[in-house]
Amino acid sequence: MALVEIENLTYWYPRGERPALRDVNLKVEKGEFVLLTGPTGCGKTTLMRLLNGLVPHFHGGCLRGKARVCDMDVVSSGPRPLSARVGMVFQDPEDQLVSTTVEKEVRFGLENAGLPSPVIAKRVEEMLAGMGLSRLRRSFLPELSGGEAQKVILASILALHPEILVLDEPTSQLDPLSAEELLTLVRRIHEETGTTVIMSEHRLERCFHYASRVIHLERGSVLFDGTPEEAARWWGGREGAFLPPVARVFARAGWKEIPLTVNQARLLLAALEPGPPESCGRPHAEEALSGEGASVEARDLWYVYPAGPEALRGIDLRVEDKGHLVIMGENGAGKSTLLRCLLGLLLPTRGKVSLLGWKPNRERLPELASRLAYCPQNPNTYFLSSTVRGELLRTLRLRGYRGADAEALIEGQLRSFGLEGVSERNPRDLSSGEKEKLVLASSLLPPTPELLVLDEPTRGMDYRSKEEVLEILRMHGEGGSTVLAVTHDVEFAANLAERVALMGDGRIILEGPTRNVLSDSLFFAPQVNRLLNDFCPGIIREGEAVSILKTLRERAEGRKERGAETCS
Amino acid sequence: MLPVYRDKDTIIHALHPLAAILLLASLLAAVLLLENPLYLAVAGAGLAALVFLAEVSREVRPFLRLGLFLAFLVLIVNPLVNHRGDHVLVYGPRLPVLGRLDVTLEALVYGAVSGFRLMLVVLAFGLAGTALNPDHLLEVLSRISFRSSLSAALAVRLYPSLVLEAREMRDVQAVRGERLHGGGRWERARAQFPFWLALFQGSLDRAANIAESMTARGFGNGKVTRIRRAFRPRDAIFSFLALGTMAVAVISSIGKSDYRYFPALSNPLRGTMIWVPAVMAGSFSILVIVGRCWKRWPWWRSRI
Amino acid sequence: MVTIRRNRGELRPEQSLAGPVAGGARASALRALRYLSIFAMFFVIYLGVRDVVPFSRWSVNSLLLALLLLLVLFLRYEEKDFGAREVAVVGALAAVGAAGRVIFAAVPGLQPATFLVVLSGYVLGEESGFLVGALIALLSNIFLGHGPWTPWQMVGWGLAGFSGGLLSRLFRGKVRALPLALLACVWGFLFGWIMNLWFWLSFIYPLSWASYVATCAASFWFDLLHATGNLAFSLVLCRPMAEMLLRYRERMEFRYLGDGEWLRT
Repeated sequence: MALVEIENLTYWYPRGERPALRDVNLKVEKGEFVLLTGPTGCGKTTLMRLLNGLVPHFHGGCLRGKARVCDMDVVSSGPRPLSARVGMVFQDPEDQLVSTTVEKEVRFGLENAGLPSPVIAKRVEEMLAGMGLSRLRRSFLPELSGGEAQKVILASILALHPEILVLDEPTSQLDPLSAEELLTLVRRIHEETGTTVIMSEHRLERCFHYASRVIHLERGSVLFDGTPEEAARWWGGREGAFLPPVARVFARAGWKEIPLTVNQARLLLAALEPGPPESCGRPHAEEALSGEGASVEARDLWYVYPAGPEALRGIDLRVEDKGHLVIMGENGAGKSTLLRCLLGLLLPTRGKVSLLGWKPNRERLPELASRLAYCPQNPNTYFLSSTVRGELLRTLRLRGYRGADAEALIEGQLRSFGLEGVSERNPRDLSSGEKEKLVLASSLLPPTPELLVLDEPTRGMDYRSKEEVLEILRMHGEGGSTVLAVTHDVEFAANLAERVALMGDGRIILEGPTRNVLSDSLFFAPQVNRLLNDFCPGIIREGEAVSILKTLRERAEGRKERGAETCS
Repeated sequence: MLPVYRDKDTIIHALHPLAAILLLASLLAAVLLLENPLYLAVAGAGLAALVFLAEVSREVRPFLRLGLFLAFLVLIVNPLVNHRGDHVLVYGPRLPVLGRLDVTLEALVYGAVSGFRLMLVVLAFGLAGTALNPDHLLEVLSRISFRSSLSAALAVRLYPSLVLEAREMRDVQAVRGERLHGGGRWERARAQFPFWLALFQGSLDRAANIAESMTARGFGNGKVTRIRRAFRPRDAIFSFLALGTMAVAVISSIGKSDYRYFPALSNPLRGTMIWVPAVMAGSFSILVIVGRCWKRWPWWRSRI
Repeated sequence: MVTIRRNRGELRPEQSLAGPVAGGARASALRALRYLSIFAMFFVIYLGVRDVVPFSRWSVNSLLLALLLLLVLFLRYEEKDFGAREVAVVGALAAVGAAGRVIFAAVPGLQPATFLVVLSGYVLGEESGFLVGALIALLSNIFLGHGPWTPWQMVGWGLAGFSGGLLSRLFRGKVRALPLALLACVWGFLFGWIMNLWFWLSFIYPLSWASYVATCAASFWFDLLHATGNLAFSLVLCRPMAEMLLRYRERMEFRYLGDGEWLRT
C-alpha cells in the first residue's frame, strides 16, 4: 500500500473563492524523493499541509475527496497522531522555533509525543551529533544564523523519526551557501535512512536531478507527474521556468536532449565538433560610463562597532551617475554595514561619504525622500499600511506630492507593475515576488528617484518573479536612475549591473566590470559561465548562453543534414 | 541596557534551579527581616561573597548603581515623612496635613538603613538576573505550568528579532521620508502609531505561523514528558544552608527585636542575638569554601 | 461595531477533532492548588493584621502576597488547557509589549504596553490578558533590570489584562473603543498606585494613610502622563488593533464533503 494516497481531492480555504487544490490524485511510495514545482499560489503549500492534517484541521475550509497518509485517514485522525509520522519543515525558521535553546527545540516534539525520558535523551544526542549541532547545543536560538536555525528545525523534526519528511521551500530565507548545505543534508538523509521526502524548492540546480519524481502544479491541479528527465522534455521549447538553469538554457535553445547538470551538459557539448561558433568571439565589454559625477561616493570609510569588530576597513567606492553597481560577498563581509553607512543610518567611524552630493545623516534623511529610494531586505519593514493602494498613497504623501491626480497616478503604477489584482489586499499577505514588486512600485513613483538602493531584492523568489523584477529594473534603468544593489544572487547581478564589487572581511577585494569579476571564478560565476567556459569564455547571462547554444544546435543540425546529403 | 545572563563556569551557575531559588529567597528573607544594622551588614557581606563566587561583579555593577540611586531617594524621602525620634537636627515648618516637618537623627539613620536594605535587595535581584539561567528557571516553572512557561519561552525567543525588526523599520521609514525626530511629544507619539500597528500585525502573523508549526509537531492535549534535572550533593548543601539562613532570619524576627530606632537609636554592638550573624557568617563561609573548592579541584567537583 | 462571539472553546480549531479534553486529574490538581493558594493569601493577610511575626513585617508580607496572587492567576491560565494558537499569541503579544517598553523607554508615559495588555484581555479573555501583562513585566525587566519591583509590575499589568477580560463580559464581547480607552486611562493611575503600594510598604515608615497619599502625590504627574498616553493610544489604536486580534482568534471551521457535493462559490 502506498504511503500517501490522495483521491479526487478538492479543497477550499475559508473564504477562498476558488479551490486551492482541484481534483488532485496522487500516490507516493515509500522511499521516493518527490519534488513539487509550480508558481506561487499553485497549491504546493496546501498539498503539503494536507499531508499532516494542518489542512483542513488547522486552517479550516472545505474538503472533498479522500486522503490517506501512513495508513491514517487525514480527515478523521487530525494533526496530532500524524505529527509523529509526517515531519514538516516550513520556509522561515523564525516562524517555527518555539524554545530558547537548541537542545530544547529538539526536545519539543519528543516531549509532546510523550516519549519516555531515556528515549528522548538518546534521540536528542543522536540528532545533535548526526547533524553537527553538538557545538551549539546550549546556544540561544535567536543568535543562530538562518542556516543554523533551519538545521535545528530539521533536527527537531527528524528526532521524531518521521516516515515522511515534508519540506516547503526550506531554503527560501537562506543565503546560497547555507541553502546548499541544507539541501545536501536532506539528500544525505534520504540516501542513508530511506525516509520519503516531499519537497518544494526554487533552487532547482541542487535537487532537480536527484529527485525520483517531479510533480508540477498550477492553479491547484497536477499538470505533470514524472521523472526529472521527462519533466525536462515536457518543458522543452518553452520558457522552462521550473527547470534548473542549465536545463533551462538548453530547453530555451530548442535542444531535443536536455541535460540536467553541468556535467551532463559538458558531455553533451563535448560530443559536438570542437571550435566555438563564429558569432562567439570574446563578448564585447560594456562601455564604461564617462565619469560625469558620482551619485554615491565613499572615501577611506571605516566603521567599528562600539566594543565590537571592525566591520568596514577602509572602503573606497564610487557609483557613477546613472550607473548600476552590485556589491557581493559572504555573510558578515560588511555589506549591510556599508549600505547603512552610505545611507547615513550609521555614522562612519572614519572617512567620508557623499550621497547625492550630501553628507548623509539620519535627521536630514526625510529631505532626501524624493530623490532616494531604499528597498530593504525584509519587505515587511517597508509596509505600514493595510492595503497595497494605501502603501503607494503613503509614499506620495511622504514625498510631498500634493497633486490632485494621485489616484490616477497610483492606478497607473499598479497597472504597470501588474499589481492591479491585489490593490486592496494587505501587503503582508502577498507572495515574496509581489512584495518586492510593490516595494519597487512604491519606490519608483514620481518624482522618479535619482538613486535606488536595493538590499537582497531576490530573496525567496522563484525564477519567474526574478525575471519580472529584472525587467522592471531594466526599464527603470533607461529612465536614468543610479542603482546600487547588494545581493547574493550571481545570476541577478550578472543581468543587472555593469560593475560589481566583491567584499570580504570589511574590504573591497575586487571591483570592476561585471564580466571580468564574475567569469572565471569557481563560486561567484553563474552556472552558464561554468558551462560554456571552454567554448567561449566570459559568458555570464542566460540570454547570451541561449543564443550560443542555438547557433551550436543549428550548426550541428546543418552538419547532420549536409552529412545526410553527401551520403545519399 | 543591563547585562543579560551569560553562562559561566562557577558553582552558582551550575546550581539546580530550585537550590538557586532557595538561595535567593534566603538572601531576601535575611535582608528584609533583620533589624540590627550590624546583622544587615553581615547579610550584605554574604551577598557580596556570593557575587564574587559567581564571578559577576562586573555584571552587577549597573544594579549597584541603580540600588545606590534608589537608596539615596529613600534616604531623602524618609526624614521628610517620618518625624519621630528624640534628636531633632532641623526644625521644619508646620503644614496642614503632614504636621510639623522636623528632621530627626533617628529618621535619618532609619532612612539610611532602609536605603541600604533596598540596595541589597536590588543587588540580590541583580545576582539572580546575571547568575541564574532563566531557561532553567522556566524549566522548573514548566513542571507546574506547562503552557504559561511555553508562552514565556516564546516571548523570550521572539523578543530579539522583534527589536531588530522595529529598529530596521525605523531606518527604512526614515529613508522613505518619515519624520520620527523632532516635533513635540504628541507629534512623536503620532508618528509611532503606524509602527505599532505594523509590529502588532507582524507579530500576530508570526504567532499564527508558530502555532501552525507547533501543531505540526504534536502540541496539544495529552501526555507530555517533562524535563528533569539531577539534584546533586552541591544542590543539597546549598539548599540546606539557605534554609538555615532563612530560619535564623525568621526566628530572630519573632519576638522583640534587639535593636530600636525610635525614640532613640540603640547601640548595634550591644545586640543580644549574636548567634544570628554568627550562623549567617558561618553558612556563607561554608558556601564560599565549597564554591572555591569546586572551582579548583576537579575531583571535588565530580564528587559533589 | 465588531462582535466577539464569546465561547471559551472557540479559539481551538486544532482541537476540533482531537477528542475530549484530556488530563482531568491534572486539572483538578491544579484547581486544588489554586484554592490552596487563595486560602494561603487570606491566611497571610490575617497573620499580618494580627501582628504575627514575621508576617507583620509588611515588606515581607506584601512580597509573599504578590507572589501568591501571581500563582493563583497563573494556575487559572493553566486550568484552561489552551491550544497552540492561544499559547503562541500570548508569547507574541508579550514580546511586542516588552519590545515597545524597551525601545520607547526613553519617552516616559508614551508607550502602549498598558493599553496593549488591556486590549489583549478584552479580546482574548481574562487569563490570556493576565499572562500577557505578567510576561511583559518579566521579559522587559530582563533588559531594563529585574528587582523587587518585578513581581509588583507583574501584578499591576497582569491585573490590567484581567480587568480587560472582565470589561468585555460587561459588554458581552462587543468591542467598544470608549470604555476600553477609559479603562486603559484608569490603569495609568492604578498601575502607578500599585507600584507606590510596594514602595510605601517596603520603605516608608510609618505606614499611615497620610504617608501613602504623600507617595501617590509625589508620583501624580508621572501617573497622569501615563494615563493620558494610554488614553491617546487606545483612542487611536483600539479599532484597528482589535480588528487584527479578532481576525486572529476567529475560529477556522472545516466541513467535510466526502465524495458528495461540489462547493459552489
